This record gives sequence, structure tokens and C-alpha cells, in this order.
Amino acid sequence: MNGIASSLVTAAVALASALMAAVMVLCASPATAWSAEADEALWREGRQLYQGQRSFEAAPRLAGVALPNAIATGTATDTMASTACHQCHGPRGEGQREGGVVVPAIQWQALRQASARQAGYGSATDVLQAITSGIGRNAQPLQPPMPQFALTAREQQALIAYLQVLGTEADPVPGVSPTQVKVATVLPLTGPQAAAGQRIRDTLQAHFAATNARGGIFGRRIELRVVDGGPNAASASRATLALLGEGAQQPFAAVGSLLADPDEALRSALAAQDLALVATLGMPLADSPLPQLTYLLPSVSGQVQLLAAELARQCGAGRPMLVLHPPGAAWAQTLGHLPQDGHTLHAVTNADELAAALRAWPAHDVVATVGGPLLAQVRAAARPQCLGTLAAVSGPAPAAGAGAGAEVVALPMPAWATGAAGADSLWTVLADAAASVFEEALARSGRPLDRRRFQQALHSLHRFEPAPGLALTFTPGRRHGFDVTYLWTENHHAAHAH
Amino acid sequence: MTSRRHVLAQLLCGSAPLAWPAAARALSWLATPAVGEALLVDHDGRARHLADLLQTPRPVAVSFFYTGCATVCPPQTAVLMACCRQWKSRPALRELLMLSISVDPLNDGPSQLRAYGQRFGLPLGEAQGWLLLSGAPREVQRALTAFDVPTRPDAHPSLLWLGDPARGRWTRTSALNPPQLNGDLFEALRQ
Repeated sequence: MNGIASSLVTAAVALASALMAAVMVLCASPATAWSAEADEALWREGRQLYQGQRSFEAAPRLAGVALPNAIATGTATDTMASTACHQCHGPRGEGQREGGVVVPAIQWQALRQASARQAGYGSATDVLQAITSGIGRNAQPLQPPMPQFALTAREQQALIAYLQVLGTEADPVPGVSPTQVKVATVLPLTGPQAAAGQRIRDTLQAHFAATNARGGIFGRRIELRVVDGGPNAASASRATLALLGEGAQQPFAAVGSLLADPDEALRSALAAQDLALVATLGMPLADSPLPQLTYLLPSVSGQVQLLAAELARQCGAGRPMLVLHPPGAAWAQTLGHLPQDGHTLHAVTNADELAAALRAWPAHDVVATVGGPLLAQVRAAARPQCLGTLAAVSGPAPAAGAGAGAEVVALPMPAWATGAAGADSLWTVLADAAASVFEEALARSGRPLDRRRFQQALHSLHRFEPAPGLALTFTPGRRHGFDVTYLWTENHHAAHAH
Repeated sequence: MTSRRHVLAQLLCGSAPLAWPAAARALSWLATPAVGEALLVDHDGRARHLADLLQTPRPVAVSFFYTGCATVCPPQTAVLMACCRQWKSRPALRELLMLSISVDPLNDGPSQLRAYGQRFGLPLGEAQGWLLLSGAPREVQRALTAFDVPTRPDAHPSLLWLGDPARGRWTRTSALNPPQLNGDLFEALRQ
């Protein structure tokens, strides 16, 4: 066979294969039927695929490379790393512009609608062809980073069914209706912190009641559900996890919960489900690992890092530093990434170990994240060097002259909020700030409300003041509201923020 | 061995749509970008003079991203990971050093960079061949300008610079091209 004949045969075989494939899709897949009434179970399955809560059978491919598939390995942050449809096209299919790429809207009406430049998709088959082969309207290739998906017949049906309800009233945002937005708060109503939990609850309820009395936000009342988080961190994580298990009955967000570090099960569920925990009141050891988990207060790790930088600024850059912390892998891991060179991390459990550490590193400035008698021992060591402490761990600043050297105390919020207020009224201040943060982000989201809009609105809060002098800032990378402020015991008037 | 012209023709006409067509038009190699004294910070919080990182006999690839990016960056990172894996089988590229520079220095500090690396399972470290870099906005801007990258996070292109710093030979291409194609181009650059 000569070359030309061979090419013709090859082309004919390819054409026949393509036609067969098209016929098989048309005959075998009910998804290609043009149906306005999608089966709900089917489109809910499609929504799970769209939102990355269910893996595609085969990993999507871009440039010949298999991309991370949603929740494939079950780790906490898989869906953030995945290429689930909603990452680019948006939770409501509205599309967006990012990284120099214009991502088109893919609500069913948008897909079918023709524009001056291109035809609309004529059928579900055309839409599926775009998803699977990367060839879109007018036979034009879709732009990267749109991957190609090798969908099973069931996935085709489910995705097409979901695209037909995506962004419509048939696919409501959990917790949101035209007249109300449901939120929850997880608080310790029993156990040793019950008094704090009750105070936070009362404050949140009063704050939202006042807002509702003024007509709510965009005509929506804020309906608060209080959930008992039990006596400890583990029970609080479990109670929050239970909220996530409510599916379509989930609240829109959780506000002002008293929760420190979420346990692994809660992290995984949060990463997969996108429920926002807004202005959480606990103080985590490490910075929040998830954009939807935000705190009012900076993490212990962040406070130590800033405190070390402040000590260097006050006492001289480049001096060696000894960071004393309680025992435990979590502390060592949390503090293990201090950026400055010349830092020594050391765990201390008792007075003898502390004395040995102070003898071993006599020339070092000290950051002490210890409290009680150990801190008193550090202060009494009569060292000429600088000492840094965290108010959250060590209590308030000592009287001037309590130590031989200078002491810088880091506060996890503006100094005045901790000054006049006792412990009880401090919870009121914090709970009120949490409610204000939620309402402000809700107001900035606009009337059409979904979780991504809300998240973006929250990230626009820059020096937002729920009360005069109480400024909060959130960004995509900064997941706590308050700045760290410092008190220097040798100069009580020099309190300033960083 | 694939010729350089063939590689460029593939980049121009290949099935992969080019997000950065300027790459295909580059018929002569570019000089080392003038990064000046740009002082960046890596994912471990270590200060890094970009010029020092480019003083190396290793082949260097430079890409751009930010940790809050949900659209282009995840697939781009996946493709670059595939590049790192596949290019190790090519002798000329075995010692690859990948530098990924954040275009959002206001929000990306070392902890955000580390979290991003963990999220994607990147082999971080100079020995492992991948550094994530950010820094003071002015310093990052200096670096981005040298690589012809806009400093607005929402406008950053899927641009990938490939360089042989020891010989002062560089080119640029789309980070979303198939690893095989960009590998051929990189190999041609190293010849």
C-alpha cells in the first residue's frame, strides 16, 4: 500500500471511529436528552463532582498531565489543591477573571446563549464534548487551564443534570433564603468554660436581634443557632463537625465559636465542604490552615514570631535568642519555623530545667511562653538581657522594675480591649466584634449571596473597626483579625501595633 | 535529538494552545534577566538574593504564582510538578532548580508558602530542586519586573522562564505547555 492510500485509510478509520463514538454517546447516555426536569439525586451527585466533594473516576488531564483529583487521598486540603469545577467557574457557575484568564460562566442559560462572537451550545452532547475533548463552541479549543475530563456515563449524566440547575433557585446556597440567613455558633455551654460560653451566646443573640430589628441585612434576618460545644477542644471539634454533616440543612456559616485548633477530622471536613467558621474566638497554636477558618486573635505561633522581631527591634538586631516553651511536639512543631537565625528552641517543665537553660545560654535574649512560677523564675533571674512574654500565656505585664532587664509583653489585640475589661467583659467585647465582622462581610457580599462572595467580602476588611480603636484586618493569607500589640515595661506609654 | 527550530515550531503550531505566544516567537535566546539586588525570602524564611540563586551551573526554571490563586495556579503547579519528575530523566536537566515567585507578596509570607508547598506535596528545598519565594513588595516587584511579569496578582500570566544561567541563555514559554514540549525546549537551550 502506498503512503497516500495508507493515509486515506487511516483517516477513514479515524472518521468512522469518531462517528461511532458520537452515535454511542447519543444512544447510550440519557444525559444527552434535553430535559428541564433533572432528577434530583442525579444532580446532587453532579454537584458533588462540581464542588470537589466526589472524585472523578479518572483524573482530569491538562497538557497530558493528570491533575490532582478531588478528595482522592482524603487529606485535609485536597479539595483546595484539586481542580474541581467550582475552583474556576465559581460556586454558582458565574465564572471569573483571575491570573490573566477569563473563566466563562457555565450556568445552563449562559451555555446555550449565543453572542455576537460565538454560537451557544446546541445540545448536551456539545457541552459534553467540550468537557471531554476540550473543543468548545464554533469548534474552537477551550483555553488552558481548562482540563479534559474522561467522564464515565454516570458522571456525564450527573454533570449535565447539575449544570441545568447550577446557579438557579433549585440549587440554593445552604442556610440562605430570600428572607433569612441561618448561622450557628459552637460554644461551651457546659463544663469549666460554661460561663464564658453563656456570655458569648448572650452577646451574639443581642447583637443579631438588634440587627434584625433594623430589618436585617438585604432584607434577610440573621437566625442564630447555638450549639453546645461541650467541655473541651475535642468536644468542640466534634460539635462543629456535626454541623458539617447536616448537608443541605447546614447553616451558612458559624460565627464567634469558641474553638482553638480544629482536630484532623474537622479539618478534612472543612476542606471538603467550604463552611466558613468566621471570627472564631479561640486562640490556635498555629495559623489557620484553611481560608474559611478565621479567628479574631492571632495564633500563638504568630505572636511569638512577631514578639521575637519586636525584641530584636527594641534590644538590637542580630542578638541570639532563647525561646522557652512548654513540652510537647505541638509546641516544638509550631515554633519550629521562626525565621530569624540564631534562635534556640528549648522546652522546660520545671525550675531545674529552666535554671539549666538560662545557664547554658547566658547571653541570649529570652522569649518565654511559660506561665506561673516558671515565668517568675525567668523574671527573677536578674538577667541584663531583654525578655519577651505573651499576655495570653503569662498574664498581664508586670509592674515596672519587676525584672532586672526590659520586658516586652505581646498582646493578641489592641491594648485598651484588655486593659479596662475584666475577663467577663472581654468575652463581650470579642463576641460583639465577631458579630460585627460577620455582618460587615455579609453586607459587603451584596444581595446575591454565596460562600465565595462572602469569603471575598471578608478578605476586603482592612482596618475595619467594630468599635473605635478596635481594628480588624482579614486577607486571603491573613486568617486572624487583630494585630499583635506590645507593652514595654520600661516605657509604659510605648504601646504600638504591628 | 530534537532540533531547536523543531521545538519552536511545535510550540508555535502544536496542539497545546499557548497562553504566552511570545515564547514561540523567540528565535534567539534571551539574556539573563537583570534582577539586580532583589532580595527575596524563601518558604523557610531565609533571605535569598535572587542574583545569587541565578549564579549556578544548574538549569533554572522560574514560574509565578500566589497562594490565594484558585484557578490557574493549582493546575499550573501540577504541570510543573510533572515537569520536575519527567525532566530528571534528561541528563541536561537532572539538576533542575525551580524557582516559583509569588506575585502577591502582601499576603504570601514564609508560612503561606510552606502551606502551599505542603498542600501540593512539592519537594521543597535547594537540594530537592524547588524554592518558593516571596519578600518585601518592593523587592518582589523588582524581581517580577526583571522577568516581565505584571505585579497585580489577578493579572499574572502562566509564564515559565527557562535558563542556563552559567551561559547566560534564557527563553520563556507557557507553564501550561506539555512537559515533554517544554523539556525539549529546555534541552535545546542547554545544548
